[in-house]
Amino acid sequence: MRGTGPLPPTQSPPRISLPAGSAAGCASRRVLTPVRCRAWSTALLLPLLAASYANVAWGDDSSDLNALLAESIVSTPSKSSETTTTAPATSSVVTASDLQRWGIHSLDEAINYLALGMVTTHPLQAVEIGARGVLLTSDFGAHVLVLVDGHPINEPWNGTAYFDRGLGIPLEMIDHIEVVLGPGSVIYGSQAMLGVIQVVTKRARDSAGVRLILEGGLGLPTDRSGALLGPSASGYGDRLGTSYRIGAGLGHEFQLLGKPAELTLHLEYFRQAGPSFEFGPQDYGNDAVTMMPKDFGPRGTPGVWGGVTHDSYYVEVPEAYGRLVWGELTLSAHGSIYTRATPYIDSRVNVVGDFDDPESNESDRFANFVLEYATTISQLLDFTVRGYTDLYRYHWLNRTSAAEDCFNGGLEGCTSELSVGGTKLGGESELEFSWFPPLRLSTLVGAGVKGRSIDSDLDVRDRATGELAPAANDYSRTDFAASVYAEQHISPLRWLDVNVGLRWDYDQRANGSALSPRSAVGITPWEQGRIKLIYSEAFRAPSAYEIEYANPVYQIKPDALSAETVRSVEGSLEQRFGSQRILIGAFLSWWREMVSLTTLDPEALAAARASGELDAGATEGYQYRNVATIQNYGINAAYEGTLLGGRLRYGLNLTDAVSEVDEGDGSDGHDLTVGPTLFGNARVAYDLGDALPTLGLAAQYLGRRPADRAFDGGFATTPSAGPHVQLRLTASGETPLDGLSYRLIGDYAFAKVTPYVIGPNQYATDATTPYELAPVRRMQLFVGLQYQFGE
Amino acid sequence: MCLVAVALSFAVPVLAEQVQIPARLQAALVAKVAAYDTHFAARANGDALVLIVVAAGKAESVRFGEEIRAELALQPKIGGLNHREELVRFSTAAELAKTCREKRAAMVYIAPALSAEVPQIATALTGVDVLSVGAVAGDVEQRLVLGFARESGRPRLLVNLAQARRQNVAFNPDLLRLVRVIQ
Repeated sequence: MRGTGPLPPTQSPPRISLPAGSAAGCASRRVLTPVRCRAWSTALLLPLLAASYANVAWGDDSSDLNALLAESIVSTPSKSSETTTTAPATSSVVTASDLQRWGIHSLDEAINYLALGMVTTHPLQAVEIGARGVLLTSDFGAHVLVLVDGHPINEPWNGTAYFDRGLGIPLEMIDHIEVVLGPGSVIYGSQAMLGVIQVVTKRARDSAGVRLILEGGLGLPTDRSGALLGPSASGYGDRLGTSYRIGAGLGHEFQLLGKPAELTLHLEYFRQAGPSFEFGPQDYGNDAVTMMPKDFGPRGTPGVWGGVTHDSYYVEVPEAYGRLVWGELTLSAHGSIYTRATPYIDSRVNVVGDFDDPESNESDRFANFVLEYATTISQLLDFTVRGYTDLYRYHWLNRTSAAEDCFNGGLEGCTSELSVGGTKLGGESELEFSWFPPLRLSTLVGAGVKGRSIDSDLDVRDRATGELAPAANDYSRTDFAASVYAEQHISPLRWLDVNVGLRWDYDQRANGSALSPRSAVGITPWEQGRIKLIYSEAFRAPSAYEIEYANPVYQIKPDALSAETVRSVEGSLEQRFGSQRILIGAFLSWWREMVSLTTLDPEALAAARASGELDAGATEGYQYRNVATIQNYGINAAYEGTLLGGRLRYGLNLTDAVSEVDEGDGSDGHDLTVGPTLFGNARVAYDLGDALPTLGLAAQYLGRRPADRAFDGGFATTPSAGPHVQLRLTASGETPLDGLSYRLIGDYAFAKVTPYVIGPNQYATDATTPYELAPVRRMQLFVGLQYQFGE
Repeated sequence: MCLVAVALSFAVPVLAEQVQIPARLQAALVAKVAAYDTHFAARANGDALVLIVVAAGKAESVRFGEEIRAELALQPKIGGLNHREELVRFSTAAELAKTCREKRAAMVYIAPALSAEVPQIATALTGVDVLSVGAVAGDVEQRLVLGFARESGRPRLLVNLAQARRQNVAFNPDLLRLVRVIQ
């Protein structure tokens, strides 16, 4: 549960911000030794190196030119246009063509199938994201900064960003996606700890005309074991999941009041319902209040959680994005509503709730407006100023029929509603000095200020009487943040690039300021080779949720939270061989002051009871504190290229990392949960040419992952999800009808579970308590059509 | 939305002028592409002169001209030849064509902010033995021979073949497999 809510008294509260966790898979000391793991990684890379050299042998005079044309151009690492090779960060680019070729629907799919170093997991609710072995479960994406055309869209309350359909940016508007790994606060401030993802939308000339989109999908149902059901299974049609997407957009260049202008616009609606899943049965026993078998609602069995879901897994996203460019002014507007329901209870969104209740859901509403003016003042100086406002609404509804789930009574259960309103208003300006072209000497100076206003209202209502429970967690707060930053770039020699920067942030939420430096050196020691060494730091100010959350049953407000920080050192070697590119990198990072839910000691518990912060009968108490630390290190590698004149494309990304967390509560350190330590993807596509389709095959691999309750669930065996392999086969191309194109997509996951313990048994009561892991969407099929006309 | 599209369609399309490919990458690309012009070596006569044409009084144009001059100067060879660069301020298309002839320029590089003059420049350069390069993608549609666009985050070469023939530029077919031909 992201907001708040009642907690079964028989259970321990979930750790919401910083997870307990452990690395598993290749790097786990319980599975394989790191040494064996590295040897395996090396064995994988050797054939790639051999292939690269072979390609040089096959190459012709165009290999150097091919290498240049294969360069990706990014603007995220330093806010200036440069190639990924010369940029002061490790980054990868996913292009619009890639999205089409490999059947991608959303940002998380692009990350999983095509990007380097980042990974997402899909627990049938908002996806989680990690990078380089660090995935902080239940952070709701708050450690990755997401930009759309340069504007951060993490919401102002909890810093949440969505990477699935909830991103709310129509796929057909995306020109490319830049995935930048490592701390990025030097330019972007708070939250850019794991990395920065920027979605760059198309200019009007690249999407000229009008387009219509229609796509339909099927999600095949599974049984309790995770096996796919056959069509002859009882009620198969009802259990089948369906989805559709309809959209329309345009791009147009024109003249407005004597100045060149362009308009890009796209409207879209997405809806997914199902498939159904089968859960449990999990024996729960009696309600602690009524002493009768716990009531799991009209579709549940008293005292037992589980059954077949029919209506409680759905996603709905209407979205719109538009941009008007007029001379030196750019106005962007984005709006979306992301409504979703999760078919189970767990420790993240619905700690309690009726079984298969379609009314229990959550939704996020976004409205973002950005007005930017950019001009060249002189040969020396560019100036940009930007003003923005982000409006945000969050609504969470949870219904339970069980008395023990409700504050102060409610024998027939209660309905909990959390409504949060957030507004962010801010502006920033930048000056870019181009001092001396022969030395590529340039300086970027910027400053920004923003204000955030949050209103949070929790209502717990007795379902029988409609009365509000006295316990509530309502708050309003307004806070400000300001920043100043500078970045210096110089290339004193043809083979040397130096980029140093420093940003100072003041944030009321962090009770102070933060300095975020970055130093990057790029060396070209030989033709088409590149070595990078980067030191960077980043921070995250505590969210309004972390600062304000309190619950008289089990949690008190923090005394004072400061910013989380991360320091990172990384190095990489990149080599191009014609249209082939190989990259090998290593990284080491230290995470400090991580916000973690800690247990109150007896003295603090007594004081909280005495002050009324906790109920007099509370036997346990928790509080957010800056206590946890994480050590993280590992390697990543990438290989990509084209052959046969670009008709054959392929790529491979691998990351292998170790991440150990110290909760700061005196317990032993352990690996992080949920996130894989070894993960990667591979892809190949071939353009059959003429009227024939392009065939694309993409694969994702995740190593073994300890579940979210692996180290604090107390289960007799450690809950974990085994290795995960998922394949996506896509055929795309043009139809004989002019302007009409198609995509046929099939997606199959070999794994059956994800590393999330679900159901009421989140914590073992004895050695016989079983656990259940969240299921995977095993197989999905899609058919998409796009009709483009005009201009 | 269709109504909006119809309304906007009455307006006159105008291409926005933006450099999509950084000067550093443009210089590296043009240094390689020149080798695919089978007449480049003969035209350069052992020492390729690159004229960089900027719009006087336009800051973004002059700055890009300075940048591309610096970047080209860092290239060991252009089209496999030694080279030198000269910055010239645009006055008239005819004057530019005359300068190209007199100085036997192997390449003329048109900086941004000259798009309005590019059609006249292309006409004036017809019959002149020179490779014209535009920093702005739209200038190739206006009949410069070679240009650079960014497509899906990657560079793309643009070639106006008709104008190439008019300026005695003959690209090797190997190059044409890698470019988008503008007719």
